[in-house]
This record gives sequence, structure tokens and C-alpha cells, in this order.
Amino acid sequence: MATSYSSDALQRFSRKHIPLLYYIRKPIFLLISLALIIVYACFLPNPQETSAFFFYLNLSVLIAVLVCWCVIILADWEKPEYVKMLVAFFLLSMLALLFYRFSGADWARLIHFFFNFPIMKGSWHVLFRGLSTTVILSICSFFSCVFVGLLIAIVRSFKYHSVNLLITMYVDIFRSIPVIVLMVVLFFVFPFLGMYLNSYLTTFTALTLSYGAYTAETFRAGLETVSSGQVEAARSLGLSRWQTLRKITIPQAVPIVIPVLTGNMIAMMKDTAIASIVATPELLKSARELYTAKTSPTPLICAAIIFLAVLLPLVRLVNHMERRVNKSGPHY
Amino acid sequence: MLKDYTESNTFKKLRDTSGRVPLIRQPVFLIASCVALVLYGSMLFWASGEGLVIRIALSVFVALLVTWTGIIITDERRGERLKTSMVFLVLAVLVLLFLEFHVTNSEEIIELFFNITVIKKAWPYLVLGFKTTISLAFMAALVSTVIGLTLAIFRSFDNKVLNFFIIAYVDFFRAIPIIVLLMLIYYGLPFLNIRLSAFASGVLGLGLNSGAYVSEIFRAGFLSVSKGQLEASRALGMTPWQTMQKVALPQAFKAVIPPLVGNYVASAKDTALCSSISIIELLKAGTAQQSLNANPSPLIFVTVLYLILFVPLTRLCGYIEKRMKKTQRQITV
Amino acid sequence: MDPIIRVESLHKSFRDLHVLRGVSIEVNRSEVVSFIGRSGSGKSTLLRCINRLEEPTSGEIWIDGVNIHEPYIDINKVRAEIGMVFQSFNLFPHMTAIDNIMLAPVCVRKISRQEAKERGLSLLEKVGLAEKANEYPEKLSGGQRQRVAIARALAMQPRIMFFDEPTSALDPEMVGEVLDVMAQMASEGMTMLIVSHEMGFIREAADRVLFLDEGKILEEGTPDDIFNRPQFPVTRDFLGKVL
Ligand SMILES: Nc1ncnc2c1ncn2[C@@H]1O[C@H](COP(=O)(O)OP(=O)(O)OP(=O)(O)O)[C@@H](O)[C@H]1O
Ligand SMILES: [Mg+2]
Repeated sequence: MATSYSSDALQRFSRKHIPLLYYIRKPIFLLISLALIIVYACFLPNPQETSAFFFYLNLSVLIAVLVCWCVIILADWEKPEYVKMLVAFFLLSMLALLFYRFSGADWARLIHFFFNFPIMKGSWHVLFRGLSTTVILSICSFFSCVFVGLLIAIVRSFKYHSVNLLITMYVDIFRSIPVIVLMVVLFFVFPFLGMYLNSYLTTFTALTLSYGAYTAETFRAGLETVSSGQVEAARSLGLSRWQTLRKITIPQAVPIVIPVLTGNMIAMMKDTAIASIVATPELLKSARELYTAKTSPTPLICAAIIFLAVLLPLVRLVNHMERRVNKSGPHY
Repeated sequence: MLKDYTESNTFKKLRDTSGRVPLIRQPVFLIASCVALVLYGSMLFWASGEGLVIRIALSVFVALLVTWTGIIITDERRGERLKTSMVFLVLAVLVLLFLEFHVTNSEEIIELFFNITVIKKAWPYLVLGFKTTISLAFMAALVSTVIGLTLAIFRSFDNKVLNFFIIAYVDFFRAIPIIVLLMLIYYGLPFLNIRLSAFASGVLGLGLNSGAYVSEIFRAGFLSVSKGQLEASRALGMTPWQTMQKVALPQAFKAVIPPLVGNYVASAKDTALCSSISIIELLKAGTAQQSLNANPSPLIFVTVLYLILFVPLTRLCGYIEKRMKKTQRQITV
Repeated sequence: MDPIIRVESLHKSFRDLHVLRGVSIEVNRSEVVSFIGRSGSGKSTLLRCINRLEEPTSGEIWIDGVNIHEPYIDINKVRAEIGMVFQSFNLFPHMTAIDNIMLAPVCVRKISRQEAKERGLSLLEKVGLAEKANEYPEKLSGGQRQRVAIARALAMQPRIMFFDEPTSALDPEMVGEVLDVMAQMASEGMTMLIVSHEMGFIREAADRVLFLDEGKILEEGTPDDIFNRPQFPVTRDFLGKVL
């Protein structure tokens, strides 16, 4: 193309210097640096032979360089998709390899200690009994905390200042105390008051009190998403406070609240594991007993797998719901 | 009449048709019932003892008291100050009743729960535990920020392979209870010859877990800046760095800070879970001292400490969230 | 005189969607060129390729005789000379109107804040929004937002302006105020590339109309030619629908 560069435009548009990135992104440079990285990785000093400091310094430099190299390619839109895929695979496998090689783990013992099938076979039924306790406890506490939360949120929405003061205190206190502290206090301190709560009741009460506060906040946030203008409009149409709540506010708040509520449910189910501290025979407690009895971490692994099997679908569900709420946009 | 929101329609109708204040709102009724309640209450205090009759009388009293307070509170024409003092008065009465009827040895209560000598004895250990809690919280925050930011950056490349692993990571740690994770790390890993100190296990467990949440927060922050704005600033000839600095970061910052602070606070609260893997943090120090002295004062004290630490922090989160929401100027178009 | 914009057989595809299929255009200085065509015909993509908001798949683009894909070209300097106005305003919501306008002159052109502010205020006056300088975008109406966006682009003193359906997100009564500003710019001799469905405005202001169909320029001519004597049935069909 014969172009008549207008020299002043050339001057106006041209860079003072071509940025480094332009050269760095050339395939030839990337290939050479890849080769260097791989060579570096191969000749990484052995942890047994050098000082620990020197070894970790080398390792972190290697990882940093590796990550930078991948980021350079991944962040470049002009590189085709399949190259990026390859780079991603390369990054992941390199990291896995480095971990395998240098974490100091004794991988030969992995199967024997972590996935010991005879021990697994012996522990499932105990663990499932624990699981049923976990599930029942969390469902009961969930319903009671939803009840508490809803009650509090509705009462609060009426804006009686004196009551709201109390509610705020309740919410603040129980959101601030970790559940485990609450359980310990209920279980170990209340007997001094002459009140004996058994471990189930302790868990139930602690979870209800604590998650009641969270749920109240959730519901309040849900009710507050409905603009005051709408409430005023409804009131000006002659709807009563209750009617406004029922016809205008709650229908709009529910789709917002449901995902958060499910999230609370997950968090609560996770927190039932804490009940093992106060000797509730739930999943984790059973697993720990088996762990001590058989001196093998396999039951713990099994417990983790069971927790995942129950909770992962719920987590995915929450993800899905959140995405849907976000997609449908603000509700007005 | 504009402020007449709190009355339900039926009351309004009652008043409009009869032109009178309904019976239960009339001062005479309120004062009379108040006097009756006081009499009833003082009788109860005198007749303290055991037995079913007392129990029933007590429950009836509490129910009446609560109803009466409800009537006062829902009355729009009473002043706020009166209502507030009323609520606290009733609360005090309820606490008194509880102490009177449910606590077997109420005279020893101070001795038991607020025993200064025991707390003094336990003090050095509690301080040590407190320090451990704080350093756990900071280290966990640091680790989780590094993990979360890295994951969010890699997530923003929108690469299917990486996304799969990042989502798997995030979901895994959202699904597994922290305490299970801590136990796996502390009790499980040594079998593989990976030996971490209790403190390191705690930091790792909390950091891995909270890192998952942090990465989601950063991702939402990145997404909160609309693509159109980035394009507009590029079209104005701003370099990527300038775009980042002047357009993207100020907005992402506002979207990120409130949940991030909330997450750090939550993760700081989760440090209490580390007591289960024999890290002597605040809770563990409290329980240890309780069993050592056979007195729950240290534990009470620890609870109060948690309150002192976390009530302001929780409030701060709420405040930041509210402020950011106010200053966040969102236009969708 | 050489054209200020020259596009040579431009192709652009998104994955397997071939949006632009060999577009070649030349635009002279002070010319007002308008693109029309059905939705999805690639009008926005074309404009965005010209200032490299999208990277073309193939083809070459010269601005002022300079190939903007050469590595020694700083695309930001090119963009600074091309103002772009979007359909969806894209004002920065965390800045006031005047801050929106001052941002790029201060950051990119490196002029002093004082000067930028004066320039910004005079531009706001020009688009009739002098009193809204300190409002945040959320407080402005659609038409006002778009006029601020135009002022923001003009503050860089561009030599070329791109408009990508600047009025289609606006209520009908606000369209006029934006078009007035654009017409004034055209009369001042600005080179403008306009994607718009405001046929009345195009007839008045445009020197040349290009009809895009399926990523190609199907027809090109004066507004009079295109609107009154369209050559192709597709064009006729399209015009029949929008006029
Ligand atoms: N970033 C993108 N990724 C994938 N496809 C895209 C992208 N941007 C545009 N397209 C596709 O390219 C085609 C042309 O889009 P373009 O926005 O250029 O059309 P248009 O002529 O401006 O239409 P309209 O009048 O509706 O604005 C459309 O089919 C669109 O789906
Ligand atoms: Mg378009």
C-alpha cells in the first residue's frame, strides 16, 4: 500500500517508544521464555541439598515467573482461544506437579491413610447416623430461626423505637458472638445457673439465637429493598399497614430474600459441625470418635465427603438463584 | 392525622364512628391495669417458692405484663421516651423474676460469674489468648486476600479451564464446614508427613476458606464497573492504567470494601473455631481457665471480650455498607 | 486532498459470526457520513473497529494517513483525536458532570485542571447545561446525560466525532436537544460518522449516506439519492420501514 503519510499526523500519533509488552507478546519471545521456565523448573535445587531459605526463594521465584508468563498470554485478546486453553492446562499441571514434587508429602501413604476402604466400610453406618442428627438439628434450628427472624423483621418494620432498640441490641449481640462461644457458654456456664441444657438443646438454642439475628437482618434487607415511595403509594391508595406488607412489600422481598436465606441455611448446616464441641453426636463428632478409635484420618475424610455431598448441591443452587435474581434486575 | 400509620384500620374505624378512644387506650384503663399488675407482681415476689400454682401464676403474670407493654408501645400518642423507659422497666422486672424463680443460689451469683480474683488469676492467659486470636485473624485476612485476589484475576480472563477449577475451589470451600477443614488439616495431614504447627493449620484453614469468599467479592467488584464505561474511557484515549485508576478502581472499591470488611470480621469471628485444634486462642484460654478454677468467670469474661471486640466491628460493617450505598451513584443506562 | 479516514476491506468476526465482510470507506475532512442499516448489520462494530475498541480480524485502517495498526502508533493518541458518543451514554457515575468532562483532558492531554474546567464549563454552556455542572449523572435526564457525554467527547478537541445511535435511548422529546448540538457541530466543520435512525436529521445534516447490509456496504450516495432513488430492494424495504 503506497501511503502518503502526512508527517505531522505521524508525529502526533506515534509513540515515544514502543512498549515492552509489544515485544513480550511476540510468540517467539514467549516460546523462548517458556523453554527457560521449564529448564529452571527441571534444575530447581533439591530441598534436601540446599538450605530451606534458598530453596523456597527459588520456588517462589519460579512460581511468580510462571504465573506472570501465563497472565501475559491469558490477558492478551489477540491470542487464539486454544492457545489460552493450553496455557491454562500448562499452568495447572505445573502447579500440581510442583506441589506433588515439593510439598514433602509422602504420597505413597495417601491411599492407605486417607482412603482406607476397610475402615471406610466399617464407618459409613456410624457416620450416617451422625448425618441424620446433623440434618434434623439443622432443619429444626432453621425453621425456628426463620420464625424468629421474620417476627423480628416485621415488628421492626413497624418502627416502634423502643422495641427497635431492644431488637438492635439483640441482633448486635448475637451477630457478634461466634456460635462456638455461644455453645460453650450455654453448655458449660448455664449449669452454674441451675439450668441444664442437653447437648441437642444447646445446639438448637445457640443456632436459633445466632442465626435468628442474621435472618432478621436478611428479612429486613429484603423489606427495605422495596422503596418507601411504593409503600407511600400503597398507603395513599388506602391499604392498611398489613395489607401493604402483604400485597406490596413481601411479594417483592421474597425473591430477594430466598437466595440469602438458603445461604443462611447452608452456613447454619455447616455450623452444626461445631456442635461436636459440646458432645452432640453429629457427623463430625462421630467421625472424630472413629478417628481416635481407628487412628486413621479416613473417617474424617468420609465426613468431609458427606458434608460436601449434602452441601455442594445447595451451594450450586444458591449460585444459580443469585444469578437469576441478578439477571432479572432490580425489582421496580 | 398524617402520622396515624401505626393504628390498624379497625381501630381507626372504631374511633371515627364512636368518636372516642377505644377502651384499652384510655388512661384510666391503663393506670388501673398497671396498678393491678404491680399488686400481682409484688404478691408473687412475697409468695416465692416452689409448686405448680406459682409456676402458672408466674406465666400468667409474664403474659399480662407483655400484653400491657404491647398496648403502650403500639399507642401512637404516647411519647417515645415513655415507651423506651417502659420497655426497659419491664425487662428489668423479667430479669428479676428470672433470678428469683429460676436461679437456685442467686446470692452467689456475683461470686460465681463475676469473680474478680479468678479473673485476675486468669488474666495473663486470657491476654495471651487474645493476642493469638488477633494474630490469627490478621494472618487469615492476609492469606485470604492473596488467594482471593489471585483467583479473581484469573477468573477475569474468562478461560473455561481455569474457571472450572476456580469455581470448584470456591464451591468446595463454601460447602465444607471450617471446623471439618481445620480437623482435616491438623489431624489428617500429619499422616502424609506434612507437619504444620497448630497455628499454621489454623491460618491455612481460615485463609483457604475465606479466600473463596474474597475471590467472589473481588469478582463482583470487577463486574460492577460496566463494560460501557471502560469503553468510554478507552475511546477518550485514556491508557489502561489511567482507566483503571480513574474509572474502574474508584467504583470497584465502593463495591468491594463493604463486603470485604464484613468478610474479614466474619473470618475473625471464625478464629474461635481454632480452639478445636488446640490453639490457645481467646476461647480456648477461657475454657481452660474455667476448668482450672472450676469457675465460669473467665468464660463470661471472654464472652464480654468478644462482644467488646465484635459489636463495634459489626456496627462498622453496617455503617460502611450504608455509607457506600449512599454515595454509590448507579445509573443503569 | 487525502481522506482523513480510510478503511480497506475490513473483516471482523466474533468466533464464528462473520459481522463485517470487507468494508471499504473513505471519509474526507469535514464530511458528515451517516450509516444506516438493519439492526445487527454491523454498524456499531464498524465504528468500534475504526478506533480499535474492537480488533479487526483483517483489513487496514488509516486515520489521517497513518495506519493505526502499526506497532509504533499509540492508539490512545489516535483515540484522543476521535470523540465517541455511545448509545448508552456511559457517563462515569461516580463523578459529577464537570468531572466527567475534565477527566480525559487532564489525564490524556495533560492540560491544567483550571484550563480543563474552563473548557468544560464553556462546553456545558454550548450544550445548554451550564447550570448542571455539579450534578451527578443519576440526577440528569437522558437527554442531558447524552449532552454531557457529547461535551465530554468534545472536551478532547477531537477532529473526528463518532456517534453510535446517540438518540435511540432517549425519549422523543429529548431527541431534538441532542440533534441540535450535533447539527451545530456539523455546521462548524467537524468530521462526523453517525449511526442513527433519525432519517430527518440525516437528510438535513449528512453529506453522504452508506447503507450497510450483512456486513457490506450495499449502497452509498447523497441522502437525496439513497432516500429518493434507492437501487436495491433491500434498501427500499428498509427505508420503507423506518421512514
Ligand atoms: N462482543 C461481541 N461478541 C459477539 N458478538 C457480537 C459482539 N458485538 C456484536 N456482536 C454481533 O455482531 C453483530 C453486529 O452487531 P452490531 O452491534 O455491529 O450491529 P448494529 O448494526 O450496530 O445493530 P444495532 O442497530 O442494533 O445497534 C450482531 O449480530 C451482534 O450479535
Ligand atoms: Mg449498534
